[in-house]
Amino acid sequence: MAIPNQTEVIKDSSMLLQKSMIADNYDELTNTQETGKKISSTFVPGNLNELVMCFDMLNNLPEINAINNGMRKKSGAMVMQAEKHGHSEDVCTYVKADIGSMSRGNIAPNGKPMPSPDLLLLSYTGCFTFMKWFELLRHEYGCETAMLHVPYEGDGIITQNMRDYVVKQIKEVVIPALERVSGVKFDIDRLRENLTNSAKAEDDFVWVLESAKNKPSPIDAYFGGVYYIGPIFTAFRGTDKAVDYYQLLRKEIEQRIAEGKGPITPEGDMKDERYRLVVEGPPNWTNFREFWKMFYEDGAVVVASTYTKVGGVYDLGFRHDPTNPIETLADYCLGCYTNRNLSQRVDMLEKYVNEYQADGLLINSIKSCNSFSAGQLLMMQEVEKRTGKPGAFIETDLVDPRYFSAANVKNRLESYFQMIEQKRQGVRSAA
Amino acid sequence: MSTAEIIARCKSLYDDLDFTSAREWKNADPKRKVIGYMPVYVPREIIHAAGMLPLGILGGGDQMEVIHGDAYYQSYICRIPRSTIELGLTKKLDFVDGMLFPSICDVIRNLSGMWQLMFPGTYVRYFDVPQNYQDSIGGEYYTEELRELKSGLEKLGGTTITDEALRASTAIYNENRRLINAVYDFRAKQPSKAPSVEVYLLMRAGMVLPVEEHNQVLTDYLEAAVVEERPVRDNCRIVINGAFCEQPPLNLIRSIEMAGCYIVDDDYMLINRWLLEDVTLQGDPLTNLSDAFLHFSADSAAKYCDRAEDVGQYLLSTVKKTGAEGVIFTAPSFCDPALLERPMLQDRMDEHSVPHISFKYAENSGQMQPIREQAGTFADSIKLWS
Repeated sequence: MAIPNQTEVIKDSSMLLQKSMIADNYDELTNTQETGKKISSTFVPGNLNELVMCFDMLNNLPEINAINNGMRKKSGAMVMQAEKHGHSEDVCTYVKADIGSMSRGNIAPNGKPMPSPDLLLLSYTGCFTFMKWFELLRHEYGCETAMLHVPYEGDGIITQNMRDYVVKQIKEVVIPALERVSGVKFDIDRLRENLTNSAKAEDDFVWVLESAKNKPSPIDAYFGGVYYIGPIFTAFRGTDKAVDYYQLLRKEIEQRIAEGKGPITPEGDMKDERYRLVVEGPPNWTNFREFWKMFYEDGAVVVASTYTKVGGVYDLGFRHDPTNPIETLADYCLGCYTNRNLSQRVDMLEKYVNEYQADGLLINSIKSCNSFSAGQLLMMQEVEKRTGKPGAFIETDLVDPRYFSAANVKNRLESYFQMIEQKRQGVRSAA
Repeated sequence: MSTAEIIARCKSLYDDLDFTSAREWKNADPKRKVIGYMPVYVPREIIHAAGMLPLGILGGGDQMEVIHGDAYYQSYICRIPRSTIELGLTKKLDFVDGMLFPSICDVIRNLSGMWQLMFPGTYVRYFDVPQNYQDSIGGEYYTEELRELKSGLEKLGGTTITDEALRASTAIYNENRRLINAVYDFRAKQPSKAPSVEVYLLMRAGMVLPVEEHNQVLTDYLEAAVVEERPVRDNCRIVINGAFCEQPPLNLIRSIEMAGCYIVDDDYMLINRWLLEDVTLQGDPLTNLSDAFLHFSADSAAKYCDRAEDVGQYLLSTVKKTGAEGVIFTAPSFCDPALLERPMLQDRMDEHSVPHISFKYAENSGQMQPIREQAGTFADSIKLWS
């Protein structure tokens, strides 16, 4: 059997399938001049893919483009380009990577220029920056913008007033804009079919996430998790392809459990699970592999993460419901992770630490993302208090490489792992 | 009463981080409640109609040492939530019965959740406002949100807020807005007679005083300022933009004026001037407040601008109305809304050849020399080249 060299990345079949899905999608997006398809730009949290597809439109997600550019080490120059044009060093680097990318020709990962969107579908869910981001994009593109304002769950509940407000906007603002731009009439049965597909994929997706309750965990729910959320958070939710992907992924994980394997990493199967962590906050993308390696080389596996709930919280029971097609879209948007208040977020983290038998909570605090970051220190204290498990805090950024200090992150992680060891020894001594 | 006496009183209110006047107001009657609110806007009429005192919480300024608050925030988050937490943890807000956190940014939004966790006995509400301005969509949503706020305050106060009380409170706040606009108009016409530090302190007084008392302070100031002779400086006229949440230190405002810039309009404490017209007193009072919010409210980066062509028009119209010669974009460090919006506003100013500069501050900024130099150079360039 050929032994992979150090630079060769080990990938499961589901990863290869996803890679080809993404490549096909970028080809579709960059070929719209030939196909005549229209493009809607929108965001991951509150992504209305099932609805967008009803109008034969393609879904382009600027955050995902920024992530792609971050992972390909291109975002740093884009961020600085935007700063040169007057965008503050203090604001979100997704925004600046997006704007910087435009001034460099907006080249998609397939090397072709990304066409301008026909519609900016501003689904403003759980992050205030989105609102200004799309105003900035509108300023650049000058195309039609449809705004969907999703109220925040300040009291930790979705009230009927909040739901009605979102439903009305979808019916009276979003759908008419999609009809106008695409020239396609809205067909609610088509939406129901897409939603049925979504719910099927969501069932398998949740099964995969919850497989991390096994010991050893067959998945890494943060670094691996970002691959698992790929189709369901982006342009594939509601498609047959997403259903197939999650069925394949589930079979793979079932096989891993049967074989007693740990998670797949870029260097093959993780052998020894030493630490089980819950992670709060998005990952750093510019040094993603290096960051991941700091975990798996020390036997640390992430068993649950909140970032994998940013595009929808499915593991608490929500499923897209084809019998209430518009209302379910409203509930989906309202329930995304960063649209939940801090108490709800603390409750989720506490539940994850307990149910996934984690050794503690690690917070990766992201400079760019106040929606996630503001309040995280208090959240850590609360989770520590409720679970008795130690917490730790590291700081990085999304796509600005200037804010990733490998030595600092590694030092903190190593100290954290030692802290967990000491805590275990303390428990053993007490017993 | 002279302007100096009035401003001295306002300054003592500004300096008092124990909120003694609000405490005294509350202590006068055991049934009284105090409701704190943060920038940018809450409908104080409803709080007033409940017989409660709306109390503006605008951080700790430059006189408070933040010790505990820093432990709750990363270095890249603005200062106002830190000093607000500090106020809470040092019991300076222990007499406050409720806190409202308006929809302005993710930091203030999340601060509402922190307050719920840290001060569990307090009534806490994240006050969301619509970003859709159609009556049948955003209007209906907002009116219901106002009902929920009203109901929450009724429960807290063990009282019923009648429509009559709401109309009476609306009338008083209409009067407050008229007087505030009169002060702003007076300053725009004769900036030498109403220095910006004085106008600022007058507005800050409105954050802590009962509105009836604030109305009297404004009336007294206008009467005194009109007749008082003051030296006229060869200053240019500028508008301040971006300071709608975390407030600048007084020295920053003073420095800008000393550097040669009369501030003829600003967006400090926008709540005072958020509603641009009188709120109607006939009909349902909550619907009237909602209508005013949707159709007659000021602009800020906390709002979504529905049409690209409208971005920056409010600022431009302010520049034109006040005869300003330039804009100083001055935002707090790490203020997402102001800093994200700034490039669009700058482009709009460029389109209309309105000169502008920009800098950042924190509520505890101490070094004013660089700001004085920048503002001074800006003033000189306007005088020489515009």
